Amino acid sequence: MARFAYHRPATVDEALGLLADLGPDAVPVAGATDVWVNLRSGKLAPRALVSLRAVPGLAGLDRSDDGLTLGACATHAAVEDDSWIAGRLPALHMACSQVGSRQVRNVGTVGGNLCNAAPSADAAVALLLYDAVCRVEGPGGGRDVPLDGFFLGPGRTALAPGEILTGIRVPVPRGRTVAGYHKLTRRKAMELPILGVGVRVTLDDGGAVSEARVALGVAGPTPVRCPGAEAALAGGPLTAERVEAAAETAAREARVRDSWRGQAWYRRHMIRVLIPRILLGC
Amino acid sequence: MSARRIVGGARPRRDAVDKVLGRTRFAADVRVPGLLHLAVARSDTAHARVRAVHTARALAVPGVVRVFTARHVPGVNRYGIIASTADQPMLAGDRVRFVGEAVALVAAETPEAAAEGARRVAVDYAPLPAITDPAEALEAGAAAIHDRGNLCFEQRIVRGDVDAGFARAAAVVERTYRTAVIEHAYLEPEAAVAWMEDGVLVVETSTQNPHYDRSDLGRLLGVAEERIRVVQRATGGGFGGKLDLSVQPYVALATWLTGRPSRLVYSREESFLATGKRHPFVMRYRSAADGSGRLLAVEADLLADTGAYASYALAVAMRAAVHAAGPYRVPAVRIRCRTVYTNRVFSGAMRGFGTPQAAFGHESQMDLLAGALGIDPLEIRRCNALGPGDVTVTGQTLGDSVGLVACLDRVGAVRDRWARRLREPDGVPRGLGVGAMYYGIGNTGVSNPSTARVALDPDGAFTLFTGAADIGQGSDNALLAICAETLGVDPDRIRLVRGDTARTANAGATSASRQTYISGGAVLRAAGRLRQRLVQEAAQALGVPAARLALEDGRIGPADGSGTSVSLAEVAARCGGGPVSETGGFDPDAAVLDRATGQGRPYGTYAFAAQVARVSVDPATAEVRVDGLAAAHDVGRAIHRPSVLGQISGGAAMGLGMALMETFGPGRDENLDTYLVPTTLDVPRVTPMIVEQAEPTGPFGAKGVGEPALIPTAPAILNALAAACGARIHNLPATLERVQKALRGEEA
Repeated sequence: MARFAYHRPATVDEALGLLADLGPDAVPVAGATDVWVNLRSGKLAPRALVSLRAVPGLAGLDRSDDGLTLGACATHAAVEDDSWIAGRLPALHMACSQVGSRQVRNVGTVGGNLCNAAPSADAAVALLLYDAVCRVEGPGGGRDVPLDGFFLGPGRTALAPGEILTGIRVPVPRGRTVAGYHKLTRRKAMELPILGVGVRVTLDDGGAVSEARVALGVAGPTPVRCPGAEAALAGGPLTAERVEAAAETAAREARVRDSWRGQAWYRRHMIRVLIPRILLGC
Repeated sequence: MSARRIVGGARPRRDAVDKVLGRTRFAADVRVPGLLHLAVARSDTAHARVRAVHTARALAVPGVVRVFTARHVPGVNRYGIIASTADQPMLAGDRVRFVGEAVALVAAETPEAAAEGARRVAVDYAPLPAITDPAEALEAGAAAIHDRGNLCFEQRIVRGDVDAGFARAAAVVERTYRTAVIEHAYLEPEAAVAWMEDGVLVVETSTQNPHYDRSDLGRLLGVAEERIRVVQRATGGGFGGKLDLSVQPYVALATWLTGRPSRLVYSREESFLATGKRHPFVMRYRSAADGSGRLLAVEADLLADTGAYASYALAVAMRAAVHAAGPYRVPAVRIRCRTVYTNRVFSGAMRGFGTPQAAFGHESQMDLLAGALGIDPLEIRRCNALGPGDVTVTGQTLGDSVGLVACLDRVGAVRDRWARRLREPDGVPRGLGVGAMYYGIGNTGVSNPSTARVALDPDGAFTLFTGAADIGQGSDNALLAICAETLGVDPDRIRLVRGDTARTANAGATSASRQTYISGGAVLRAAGRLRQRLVQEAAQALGVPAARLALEDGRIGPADGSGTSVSLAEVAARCGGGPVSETGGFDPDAAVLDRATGQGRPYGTYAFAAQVARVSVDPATAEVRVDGLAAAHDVGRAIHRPSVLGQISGGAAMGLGMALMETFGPGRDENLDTYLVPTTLDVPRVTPMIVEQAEPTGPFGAKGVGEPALIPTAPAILNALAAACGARIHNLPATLERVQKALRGEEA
């Protein structure tokens, strides 16, 4: 493994300054659970790592009536251990609780999971359900990027060079809500999903679906929403027919592939199975 | 002697505290000043002629000291644990036969320089057609991977009138089964350190067989064994993968040729890429039974892919063939097992030597026969189970230590309890499955002795000298218990010198579940002789007939407690003051199998086992959960109960991996992120049960358990899955896709 400098800036501004000075040879890291694997294999050989772990506040969970603001360095374990999140944002809780193993969750961060931009990112699928918005800081100032537009391709995000993700705002749905995330794996820990399925349905006072979100992991080059399936769910009461139509649409539209981890036919079939399971418990 | 207190007990293992505290020093922890770091340049092509190996660019890397290729190997550049099939070069000569084969060795002042040097070794290859399928390798006109052809070894077992058996059968089932390539995935990757000491090459290493290591290192270097000393370091698992040489030839060569110490530790990736695997098998089975379920004939044709080199292929073929019909009375068999060369990383020894693969075949067949005849799966096994005095498929008449029926009864009781909870109104498919096995203890059809020495030291304590490598399974503990029990002393009064070719005699490999039975037998005899000699010495000192004396708690005196006694230190002094030692040996009563018919006496004794698995399957996603595993093992006699229970539970976990997830894809799996082994969350609570049908030739009745622990697990799980899904899976592992098909009623 090549040698590199390790920087621990104490503020976001200091981090941005370091990244500006070091240019593309520097890689920002939080838990480094993804970065480290690539360092060890030689896929990444940066001259410097800029750790965001010492920046105060970046690991925090800020809960309010409007929703949750996750510091980019909040760990999966912090989400897993938070009963407020479990109650109000259950799909996020389910997703974060199933990443790797407890040891990995103690170190790996939600922000890092997003920036790594793997199609299999568990937390990303759940956050897409909740219309999460990424807070990005850069040399030219800060900006908000909806998560839906954050992923540009495998390993590619909307972050410009020198920019870092500092937080994720997650609104709590208003109204009666059913939400869940199912991670399908070959073994029960320490594995990426064969398929990640997330669904959220929020009902209005009349019992009609006012908001529907369907998101998938490992069903395309990035974690993706399924607009067709969302449309099939929205606009009326949550009936078995609507759910099945949504599941069928999502399965049809998913860009699943054959890989050693799982075959496309199985993945497609599981989309059909898991969307009703999350919404109807069947 | 007083009632036995140590054998059968549960004292903490001697190595336990150091291991828990992280104080144990493994080979990778050995630090020698001034050492050379090594890196191996490996083939990236599966099959090619080597036109030239260019090392100039590697030598130009700052810090690189030497680069070695095949032409630097001073002795015979060919090794292999089975001498008659030894065919593996330590550095490829004019040919490479698999991706990952060693081509050059770089020695450097730093690990980084060594790695960079290895990257800069350039090889000029002339590609040859690569064969990846063993059936294809046997076709006429297939490229020959070795000069002797692509059939590495073939073992046949022929007995009785097979055709007559099929002719009068009430049920015949015929199926083909496939198993996957499996990686050992031990915790500790291969590691070795070497240095010169007074003209002797010292190699400290992680190994299952230090004496074999020394002999093949001697051949590779072209030096007498006396100039080489191999010391087995604490070893973090082996499962057969550390029977072959791996890193040892490289440290030996570098140190021998430079005079400097050297060190090589494989990364996990290198361990995956370059070391042996479990043979994948394709097995065609045809089995016949009469109306009451009695087996009439079994025909089995087993084809195993041994990859680029023979390694243990001969032993795997022999053992798989001998065990192919299962632990049953079968009057007629026609069995053939062939191990075949391909251009894949070599397959070698792995826990069970082909028996776990064969057990998947014969145990699936037993359930199919049971189903065809409407007989309970446990009942069909019970009515065919080998018992004392029965004759095996090789014509061997079994002795008294045959506890299979007891094992079936023990797991049967658990199964019946579980069966009451099987049907719950939640629509979840659940199933119970049985697996049974027998397993010959020791090497197949050859002499495989062990020798041990026990000494009384001048201070009145003892020292046990054994060459048996403890690779984590606990042979140290078992051998000390046997020694202590025989000498009538506390095991804490016995020092241990283990696995050092300069100080211990050859105990043979830690494999074939043989060390407790065979090295235990050697220790028993050495300690027994020493005890006898000490008692005679004391008899002279005390003027009391030896027959009236007992050795107890470090003193020898009248057994009835009357009169005076002498301390062991006094006895030692009487013997001249130096250590007093005796040697003992044991070699099981085994003989070579007939070449044509496979008839003979392959082993001195057999272990027996039965396991029951309880599984549930998600009806929509096909996710499998193993809810319970009950495992009853006839080990003859449990020398150390916690170790036996641990072996059974660990074996069951390994068997679960074989059943549900393990499959090695060359070029795909480099590490444990993609090659999946079970985690603690995948393995249920295992219910281990010890059956003790004492073996008269074993120490205190002991046989073995190391490999048997694994063998019935995958068959039990697959039979449970078939019961749950209603259709059978014939290919391992039972992936989600295969289980999904089985749930739809398709055979997978």
